[in-house]
Amino acid sequence: MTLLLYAIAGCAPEEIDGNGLEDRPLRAIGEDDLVAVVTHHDRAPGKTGHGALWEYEQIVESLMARHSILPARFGSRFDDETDVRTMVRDRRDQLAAAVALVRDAVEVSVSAIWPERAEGNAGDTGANPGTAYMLARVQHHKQAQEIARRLEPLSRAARASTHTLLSQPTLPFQGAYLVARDELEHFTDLVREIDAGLEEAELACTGPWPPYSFAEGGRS
Amino acid sequence: VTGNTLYASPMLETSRTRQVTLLDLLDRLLAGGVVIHGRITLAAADIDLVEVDLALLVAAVDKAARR
Repeated sequence: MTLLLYAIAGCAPEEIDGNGLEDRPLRAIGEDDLVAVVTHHDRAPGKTGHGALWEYEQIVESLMARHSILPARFGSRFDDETDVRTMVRDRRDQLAAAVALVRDAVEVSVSAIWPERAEGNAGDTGANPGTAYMLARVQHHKQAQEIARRLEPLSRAARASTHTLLSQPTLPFQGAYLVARDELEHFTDLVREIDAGLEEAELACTGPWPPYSFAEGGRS
Repeated sequence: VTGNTLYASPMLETSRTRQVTLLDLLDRLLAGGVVIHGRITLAAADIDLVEVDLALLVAAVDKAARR
């Protein structure tokens, strides 16, 4: 027996319905107003490909549409219901606080994007290739920090936020923002406004996502 | 799927915007969410790469490994 975990939901067990992967019915394990949403399988589903990722995301999003949830990392499983109950009981305070944080909110991603460019191009410094590479890295990091500074108004418009710099050479900034549902349009307008005045990079904003980046509590 | 492009700079090509959306999805599914330590069974090698750029996948998995 394998139980696949989709989310922790802040609702009563009887409020969970619908189907999960392989059309298995969603079940709620827990009590009061905090439950783990799972499906039971005779053995772990064999599908872990691209289609399964999208299917999983759609299931989680359908849960998000009806409940306050903390999405689970794709592929999370338990061997039996006792393990699930133990996890919910042992982490109850932390999970309940995280559910409260994400209630009536969605996650929005904002990325700053540079065009493709040659690594190590720090301008004509006259330095040897190794030094030029390191100078370029330093320069790129400073530019990424400046972009992060220009995007600070987004953090102030969000309930919580987190970001990384230069996760890829062409992505100087990737931010995740927890935004109240009724503030989503205002937040998107703010991204558009900042992008219009930002010459250092181009901005892209995606969402609304389930609060994957805030499932372990708020970071800012 | 509701996770979609809410805004993209007019200077960005559509393909680049789509890449970012895919990266955002992978980043969240594979590196975010409630973590049950030691109970993740996902095998990265099983991911179907037909529509997913390998570099994006590696970036997401690498970030997951660093957390």
